[in-house]
Amino acid sequence: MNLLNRLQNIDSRLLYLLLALVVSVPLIFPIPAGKAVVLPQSRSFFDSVERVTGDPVAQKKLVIVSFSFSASTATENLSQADAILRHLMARRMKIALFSFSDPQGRDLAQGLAERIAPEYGYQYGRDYVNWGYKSGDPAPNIKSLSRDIYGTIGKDIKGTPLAQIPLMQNYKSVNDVAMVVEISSVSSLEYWLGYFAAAGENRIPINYGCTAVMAPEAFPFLKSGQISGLLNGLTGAGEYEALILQAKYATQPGFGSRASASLSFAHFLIILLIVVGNVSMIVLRRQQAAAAAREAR
Amino acid sequence: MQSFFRPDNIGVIVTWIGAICTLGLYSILYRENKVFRFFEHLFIGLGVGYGLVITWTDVLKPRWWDPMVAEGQWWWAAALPAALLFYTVYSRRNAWMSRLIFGFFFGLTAGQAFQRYAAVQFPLIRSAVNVPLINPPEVTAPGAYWMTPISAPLNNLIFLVIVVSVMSYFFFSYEQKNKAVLGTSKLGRYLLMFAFGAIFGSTIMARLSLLIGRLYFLLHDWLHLAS
Repeated sequence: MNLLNRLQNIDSRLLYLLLALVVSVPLIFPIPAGKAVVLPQSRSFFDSVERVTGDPVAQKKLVIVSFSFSASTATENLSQADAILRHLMARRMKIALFSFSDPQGRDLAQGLAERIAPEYGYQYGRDYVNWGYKSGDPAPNIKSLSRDIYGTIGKDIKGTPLAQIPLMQNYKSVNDVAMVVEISSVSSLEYWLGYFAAAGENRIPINYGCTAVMAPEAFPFLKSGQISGLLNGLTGAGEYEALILQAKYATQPGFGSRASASLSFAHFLIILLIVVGNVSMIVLRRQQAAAAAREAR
Repeated sequence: MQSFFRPDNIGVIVTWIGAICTLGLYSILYRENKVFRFFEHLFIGLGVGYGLVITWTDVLKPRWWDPMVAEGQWWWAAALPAALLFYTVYSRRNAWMSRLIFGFFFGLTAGQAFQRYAAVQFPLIRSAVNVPLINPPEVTAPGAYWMTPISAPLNNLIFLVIVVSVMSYFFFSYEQKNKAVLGTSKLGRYLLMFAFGAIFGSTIMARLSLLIGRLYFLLHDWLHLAS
């Protein structure tokens, strides 16, 4: 079997091993990061948070951070949530964590907040609260939330009625919300756009962090102005980490930045394999066609 | 003798379990095997069990059980037979009863969807048709920092060409014989393939991100090799 044939029949297990090696090497031996390239949609997300947190009226309101994902996409979504929560905490916003699409979001949110909160002097019940998971059809949940937060949520994850939580004393409806951040691996954005964003006296800015698979479908919402910013998968998380690091809201890069070299190397390997596979296929076909022509003569 | 399962060892035990589960699931990459099947079922079972517990602790207990049992709101008991109607679908004789509750929720969901559709899709359609080619207004859409007096109309022109080409590809009502229509339709097909390529590229990026996350867990948390 010549080289071209071998290239056409590489054992897929060898390719998996090669991919694992390419991804692992930058994780074991970190490569010094250059200047981060921040795409407009991530910059727009950051600017939107800055605008809201810099507005004296909005500062007194609540930011809802919705965790609509499970552990399976934590690499992308939790890295995004980490950077966003750091930004919000550094800007001293009051935060409500919420989950209505996936039950695991509730504990992923709590674990992350408990890890970050001490760094920013945040306390549960005073500066942030976890509304827990609300199952069922999201439409009535979100619609009802816009009118009556106490009635819709009832109790937080610790079983305390919202009315008894110090943080929640002044936040009762959509008019007390400054911004919604939806971090998602499922199509949950439309519920906020459809039932919440325009339900109050003023339109609420919606920011969206999604898995890379979902990003192409989210860009039209950015163009139409329905969302203020968009974080695209792990790359978006890395870009946001660079922005908050630059603004001194964080002291060290997060996982998104650390993983960017692995992601680039893996992309490079896949492109290389596509080129090698296609070139070998074309050359092989030409050789076979020429051989067939010779035989025909 | 001190137990291995003492509190300060719990983190290590959890990491080892996570590593074994990860390796068990990745064993499918070598070939189909029973270890993979075991961990696959374990993962699904854990997910479902976790969901059930959280639904009880966060939703059913505080919103239904406690008000009904402890707070005297006995009328919540009516929700139980209504919910049980869903399960009559498993009985051939009583399956008709499940249609009552399914019909109720179909109607409710359809009504909600109409409202959502209007609120979500109309701004998208408005933004899609608002593409002036001459003297476009200043672009204020988020993320549009690169829009200049030259790039904005150019962007609109490209957008218009793509929309017309792709739509012409989907005209199936009549046979496409005209050369101009055929050419536009062919362009639309290529542009669609570009879009599918972009979506597929994003999918690869997402899958690689998940791989990186798992390998980081193995190398950092388990083997302590990564920084």
